[in-house]
Amino acid sequence: MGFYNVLQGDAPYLKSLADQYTLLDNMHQSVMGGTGANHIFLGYADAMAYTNGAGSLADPPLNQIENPNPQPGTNNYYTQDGYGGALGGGSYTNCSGIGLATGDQAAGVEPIVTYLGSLRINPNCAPNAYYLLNNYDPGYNGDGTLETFTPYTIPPTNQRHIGDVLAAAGLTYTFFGEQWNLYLTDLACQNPLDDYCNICNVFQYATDVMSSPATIAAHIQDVSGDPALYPNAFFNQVANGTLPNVSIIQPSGFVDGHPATSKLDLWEGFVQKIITSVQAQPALWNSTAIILIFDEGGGYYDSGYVQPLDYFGDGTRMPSLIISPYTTGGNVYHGYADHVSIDKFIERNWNLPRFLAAAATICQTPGLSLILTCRSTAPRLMICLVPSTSGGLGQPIEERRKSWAGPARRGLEPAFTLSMFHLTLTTNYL
Amino acid sequence: MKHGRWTKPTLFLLLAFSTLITRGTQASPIDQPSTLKTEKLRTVKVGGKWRIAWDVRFGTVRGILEFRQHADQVIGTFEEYGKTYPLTGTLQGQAITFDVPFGGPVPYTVEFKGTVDRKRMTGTSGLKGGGHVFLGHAGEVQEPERPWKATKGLKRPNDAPGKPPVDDDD
Repeated sequence: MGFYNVLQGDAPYLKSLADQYTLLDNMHQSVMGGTGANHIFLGYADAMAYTNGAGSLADPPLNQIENPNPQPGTNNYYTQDGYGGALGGGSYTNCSGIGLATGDQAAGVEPIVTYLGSLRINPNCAPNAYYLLNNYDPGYNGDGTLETFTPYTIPPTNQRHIGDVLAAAGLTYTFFGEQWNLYLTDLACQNPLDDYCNICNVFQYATDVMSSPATIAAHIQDVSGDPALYPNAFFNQVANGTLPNVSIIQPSGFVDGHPATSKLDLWEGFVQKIITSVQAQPALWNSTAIILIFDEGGGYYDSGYVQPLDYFGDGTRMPSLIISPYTTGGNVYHGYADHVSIDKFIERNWNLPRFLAAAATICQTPGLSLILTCRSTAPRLMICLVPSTSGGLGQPIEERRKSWAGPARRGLEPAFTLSMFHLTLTTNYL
Repeated sequence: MKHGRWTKPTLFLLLAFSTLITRGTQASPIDQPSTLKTEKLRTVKVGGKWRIAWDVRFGTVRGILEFRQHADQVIGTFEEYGKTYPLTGTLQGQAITFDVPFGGPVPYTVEFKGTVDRKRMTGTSGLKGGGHVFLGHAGEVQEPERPWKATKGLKRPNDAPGKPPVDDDD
């Protein structure tokens, strides 16, 4: 964990960005869960369900079903949780119907569903679906083979992701993961110097991306690399003017800013290099919006108001910045938003068909479009995922409650929400 | 008094005897190092092939260790996923330490330390020379020591359950 007070000189580069562009002080992670689950929401605008790997819902192993009921004689030590222990782990939950799930399979579900019911909020749980609540490895290794290094791996998914929506409209997208090229030579990450984040790669879960070398190369690249060998690495594409419409940029664990394993100033350096490289290409800069987000709070509880949106969230508040010539300098945007708001912004920005009609009602709010005055041609989006923040940036948030606009996502209309989009750095410690 | 006459020599003898015993006892620490030395030299034999399961960040990798032993020195190979890397190490009693320099675009050497118990080894591993080790996110192996274990011999996938591993001692 960490605490940063920008008023006393912490995070000077992020502070300068906030002064010059737009700070969001009411942004949230989408899930009360870890890095993986929150990235999944960013990419899929929904939680990810356990399947047989071929698109059909299936039941996970019993010892991987969450059971938050306390063990006898303990101070709320979960019966099953996480990644091991005498009874196994537990990171899946079936929240579709208390009457359907029995015994341990329903543990912990009823109080949440009942509470949401009292608020007339749909828990957004499909029948017989077991959803991932935390961090499991994607079903695929980086080379497209099936991940078999650990039982804590969610099977490959056919869930529709934001890339599918973009591709259907003839738009392009790429996830740029730092150390991706190294990871391809080290699929189990046995090299202690390999800090690639696989659970952050929203497309590494997806069969349609990972099923062929060509689609992998088209949608997943490293952040940097020798231009002769890796012409499609992020910085090389910036230089060549070939960036896709939407880029998601993920730092490695070395520079993701996570207080436990990195330093925030390292992430600031990572971000600064991205921003200055884009600014050095005037045509690119003039058509780009860069969004900096943290994937989740890293266990550092933030007291900001959290809207109950469905069974999975919202999650806690975290800082976010939008850097673009389309933003008004020095703004602090108070509208309520979370990761899915970025997907919503992508929809609105490119006038795309509704994303995930079956699964979720994404926020019905103007979101980023309130912040970004898009011109006739949509800007490129870069989402820079920051690892879990731990604490925010110490920005005053006294006005947050004034901006509270009632329930946002799923089902209920109203309000403003955020939209975001990616250039992403992520980390998590939950 | 008669009783007392017997008492003096008896006490003398007892004293002399106990002195001998004491000297004998005192002598054993002198002998002890040579006993320990003998035990230290009783280095376990590890030559041959071992199946290793090594916990790394994204899960467990499985490979084959092959040791060739010369007294307390070992050399050999670490084979995993079709690639073979050299190893060198030492044995001291039941303790084993060996280094494996892995190649690749970012080369690194892992130091494996463990204990040999007949046909099993267990231990921990780390970046040779220390340094940064990313512990990963929840769900990944977060133990900095990156544990490993190995079993003597090779068991082929089609071997029937319970069938003893093929022991290929040198």
